[in-house]
Amino acid sequence: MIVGAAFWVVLAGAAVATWLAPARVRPGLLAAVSFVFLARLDPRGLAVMLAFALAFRALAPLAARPRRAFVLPVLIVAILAYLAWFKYLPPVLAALRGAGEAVSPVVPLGLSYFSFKLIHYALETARGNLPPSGLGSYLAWVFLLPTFTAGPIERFDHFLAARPPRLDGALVAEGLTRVAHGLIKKFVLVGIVIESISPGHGTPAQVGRLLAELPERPVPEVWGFCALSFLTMYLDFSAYSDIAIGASLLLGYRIMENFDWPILASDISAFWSRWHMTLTGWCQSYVFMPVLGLTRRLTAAIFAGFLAIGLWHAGTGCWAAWGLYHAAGVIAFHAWQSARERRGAAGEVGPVRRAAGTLLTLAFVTGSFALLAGDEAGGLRDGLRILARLAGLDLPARAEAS
Amino acid sequence: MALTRQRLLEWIEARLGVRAGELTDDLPLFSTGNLNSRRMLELVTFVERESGIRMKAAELRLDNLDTVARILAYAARQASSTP
Repeated sequence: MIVGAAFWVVLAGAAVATWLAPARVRPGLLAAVSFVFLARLDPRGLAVMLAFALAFRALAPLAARPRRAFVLPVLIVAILAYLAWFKYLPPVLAALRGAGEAVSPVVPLGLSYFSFKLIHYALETARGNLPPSGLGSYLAWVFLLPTFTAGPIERFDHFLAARPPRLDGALVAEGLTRVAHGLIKKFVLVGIVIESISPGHGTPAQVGRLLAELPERPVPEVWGFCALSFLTMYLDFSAYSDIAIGASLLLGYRIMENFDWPILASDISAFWSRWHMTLTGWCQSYVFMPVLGLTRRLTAAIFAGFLAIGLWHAGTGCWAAWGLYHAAGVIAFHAWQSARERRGAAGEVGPVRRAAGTLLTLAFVTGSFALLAGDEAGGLRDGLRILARLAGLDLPARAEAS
Repeated sequence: MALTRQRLLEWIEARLGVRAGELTDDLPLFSTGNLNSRRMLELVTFVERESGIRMKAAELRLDNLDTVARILAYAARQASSTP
């Protein structure tokens, strides 16, 4: 979306119009501009989403009444079914049919972000945690142009609370600087620097070549491939977040941060409090904590939370394995921390150990990108082959195994 | 039994390494990463032990546990609703 001139023209016009308009009509104006722009890209998808958004707005408050509590699961099942229809059913059906690749219908624009935001809205409305709001603010939050297709997954209470009172030079400078950071990451660091190091990095063709020559490729080269995949995703995704945060500021909303230098995290638990923070927060609130409450088992709650994080990206074996790999890392870290505490060795960590922890965390996360490379090729088995190669092991390819 | 502010602050200081002087009632513990998932389970166990209650699955959520103020408010509600 951001590569087209139309986005920037509409964004500039919306920013000017929003601040010139009386305060009471700004949210509605922003909602209308965002919706019209998005509907031009995906008319059918946006029409269905508007219907969902209005249904949630009308029905979610009923769930707060004891006799209407059933409304909440109905809403959640409905939006999950809509999400699953486009995102999860096709790969499952393909696997059942034994077809190699799923034939997916065109996924509506921003569907995953949209679905998770509505689930948040329904749950927090039913719990009575959201302040009163107008329909314009609600629709501006649902369809906010800079965040709709690539997040962050803004919470509605944060959206309502964190509004700069007026437009001034500092706010414009902050917003434009943030947008510039995003554009530099996206078009200079990823588009030029990484592209010059590894042209077409991570494309199916490149992953296919890597897999074809995997036993002959030196282990450090495979580590380099995965590290570059990690760096590309970090820069690319945080670039979109920077642009969304900066553009939203220009429209009068200070939305939630999504990345906080995860590459500096000294352990995998800290990494996950700095990487894709709004998705992690969502899964903490609506998957990890309910599972912890039901089971009182930390391991089960962590696995469930990370499985949700993985599957949120795509309904494939590679993304599910990616989530479970990170869950295993977090559980291992907690076990190590507990053991240290039992030995009385816990406490302040020195700079050398912190640096070693950062390197180990980076290596662990880099390993997870081997699994994701499989998603660009034949699937999980290919991802596991690349992961094994990082340890110097050679797993047979599918054809050899049969 | 009742969870006191003093006991809660002592626990947080000891388990999270947050100094009492730096800790405000509204400082988010979990949603900003001060409290990791393992500490969350420990916090739940501590609140239950101090309050003499068993948190229901549906009560285990951030609006009851994310700040000192929320934890104390939750414990007070439970204490007042217990006959």
